[in-house]
Amino acid sequence: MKPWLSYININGYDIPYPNDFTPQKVPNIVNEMTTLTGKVVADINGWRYADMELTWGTLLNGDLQNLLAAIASPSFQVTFKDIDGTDHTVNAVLKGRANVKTPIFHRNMTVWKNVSITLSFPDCYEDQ
Amino acid sequence: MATIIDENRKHLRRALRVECGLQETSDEPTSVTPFGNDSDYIGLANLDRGMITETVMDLAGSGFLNNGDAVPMRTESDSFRYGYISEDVARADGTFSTPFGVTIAAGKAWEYVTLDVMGQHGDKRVVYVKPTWLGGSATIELDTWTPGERAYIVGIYLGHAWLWSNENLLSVNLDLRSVNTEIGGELEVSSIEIQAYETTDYTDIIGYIPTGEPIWYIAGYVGDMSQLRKFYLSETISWDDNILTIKGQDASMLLENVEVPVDCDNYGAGWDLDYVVGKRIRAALASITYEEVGAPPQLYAGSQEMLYDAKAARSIISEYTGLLRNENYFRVTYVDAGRPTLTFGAVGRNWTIYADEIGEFDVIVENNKNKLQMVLPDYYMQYNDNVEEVKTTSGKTYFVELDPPIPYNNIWINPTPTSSEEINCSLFKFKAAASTTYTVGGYEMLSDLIDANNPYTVNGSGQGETYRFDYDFPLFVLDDSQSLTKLSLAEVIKRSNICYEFTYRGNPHIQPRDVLNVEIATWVDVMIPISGLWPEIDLYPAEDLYPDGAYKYGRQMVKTWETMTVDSVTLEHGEGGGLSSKIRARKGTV
Repeated sequence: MKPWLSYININGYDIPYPNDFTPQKVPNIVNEMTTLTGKVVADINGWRYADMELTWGTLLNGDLQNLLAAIASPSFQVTFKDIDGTDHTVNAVLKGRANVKTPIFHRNMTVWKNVSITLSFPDCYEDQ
Repeated sequence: MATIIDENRKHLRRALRVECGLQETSDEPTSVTPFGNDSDYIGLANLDRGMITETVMDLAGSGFLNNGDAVPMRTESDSFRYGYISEDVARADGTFSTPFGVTIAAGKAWEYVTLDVMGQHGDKRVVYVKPTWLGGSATIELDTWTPGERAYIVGIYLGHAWLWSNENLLSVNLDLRSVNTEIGGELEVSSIEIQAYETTDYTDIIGYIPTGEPIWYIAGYVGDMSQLRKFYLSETISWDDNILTIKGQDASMLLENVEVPVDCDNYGAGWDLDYVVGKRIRAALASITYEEVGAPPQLYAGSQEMLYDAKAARSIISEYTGLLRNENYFRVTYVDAGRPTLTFGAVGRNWTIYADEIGEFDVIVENNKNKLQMVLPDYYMQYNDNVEEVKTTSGKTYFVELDPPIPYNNIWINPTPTSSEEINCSLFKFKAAASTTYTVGGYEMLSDLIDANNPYTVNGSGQGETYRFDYDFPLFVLDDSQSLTKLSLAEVIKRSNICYEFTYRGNPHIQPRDVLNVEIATWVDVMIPISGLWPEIDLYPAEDLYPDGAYKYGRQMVKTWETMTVDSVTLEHGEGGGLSSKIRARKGTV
């Protein structure tokens, strides 16, 4: 994997870090029920990573090709550095397709603007 | 330690631990000899043994049979009561320096042996082995394990065994039913349906696992697990889209189509409630093994003739148990299905449920009009001795069927045999005490000529005596002066016709016939003087209706408490590890 501050690994492909990549841990709350007294109660079953939209303001043509290859299958692994500074490899599911806008040409290179994909993370973790 | 009681009081409850299993049964004589194990290791108690109970670990291959028995491979005195632990920790490459494993001797060469293996840190693995059997024994060696850890064999099962837990369970749904508290009715079957994620293709195996194989279930928090609930496979396992579906029912499914023949008794002085009700329930359970706990009191003194019509076992269990109070009398437990239990003197556990734990709440009012009806007898007794003679050889056993094969009362034999037994109302078995001619006789019971004035009183011809009969409901025919009559009749009549059905956060400990103390919250509209506003009142914006400002509308929550007896419990462990439950209960202690 390339230096972590600049790349994220999706399905084995190193892709430049997306804008504002902030993996968020959210509690996995299931089985909500409104009680006779009007309170809402539920079961909490560990935590999971919240759905994330990964956006790239600009992406070189080669990186875009890598990204498209990475998301060719509907589920894959994503490796990134979490706030604890260590590598985390998690299972991810492609929820939204790449949104590829018009290319522009800059210094003889093809650059794609406003690329985005949405991922959801199916795994639930019991530890904190 | 988390308990379900505490967790249910919280807004966010920790997900429960759920474990289920299925195993092929074997009652083969079996012995296990470990090798490479640490005989002095005393740290076993500190190991996280997960949710598997000691009972399950002790099963070790035999499983619980349909009578609920489990035959342990190891004896109680074995220092390794709950498993064998490797002498060495695994080396860096995962191998053991001392070979570790077990030698199994069995009467049959099982194609598969399943080992339930744990690490010191509680990780569990199920290992399927296809052993080579030589001379009735097979050696299974565990070569590798997690580096730096000991391996710990906690269960050995001959044949296949599956263990499922939160990690691979998709859903577990249970319907726990017992004798319902309705008048009449039939004993209902408790059931379980398990869906588990399984990527390995076992289709060549699951089709051959016969119905009747044991399934077990347990749920709760570590240290606060429910009772081990046992079921038996009721349909062939299916495997589709990596999902195993396993359906099971409790032991009462074995009572399907079982009918108890007509029976009669001399209901003599000193016989008691146990006799009247217990005997009939025992007869209904006779085709399956059941357990009986406790002794009933002597409640009845007097002398009556009792006649019981032929009836389906399920109906008998339901009707007769329904005559009894929960408190201090018989209690029949079927939901721990491995072995139905007749308990005397045990009250179902009491549970408190708060309004904060209840979702939808419905009140059902039953119309019981005409449900309590007298049942006309099918037979009456006529003192016509019908006699069969049998020439005997001393010491031999004879079966005598009185002709015609209708019910007889008071079957007698002369001279006195070594032993005798009434197989049913017309079939008699005895062991001759001498080589002579034995005479077996009885009084016919016929099915007409009922006294028109009192259908429950029939004059026995020739004797000039009056006999009373009971048909299905003892309460209607015993003399009013008998305490038994009052007791049973009162219990049925005073039973509430109000039932409750509600959704509940769930408690895997609760089972039918338990008593609940439930807090019910209802919102009522109130109109109160403005000067008396209570802070908890959630006001409607209704001031305009009373422009003088003297009164205001508000909604007030009213909390009441109800005692109820559980009829049935549905437990649903759904996706994401959540548990929800539905309970149907009858008002009062039934």
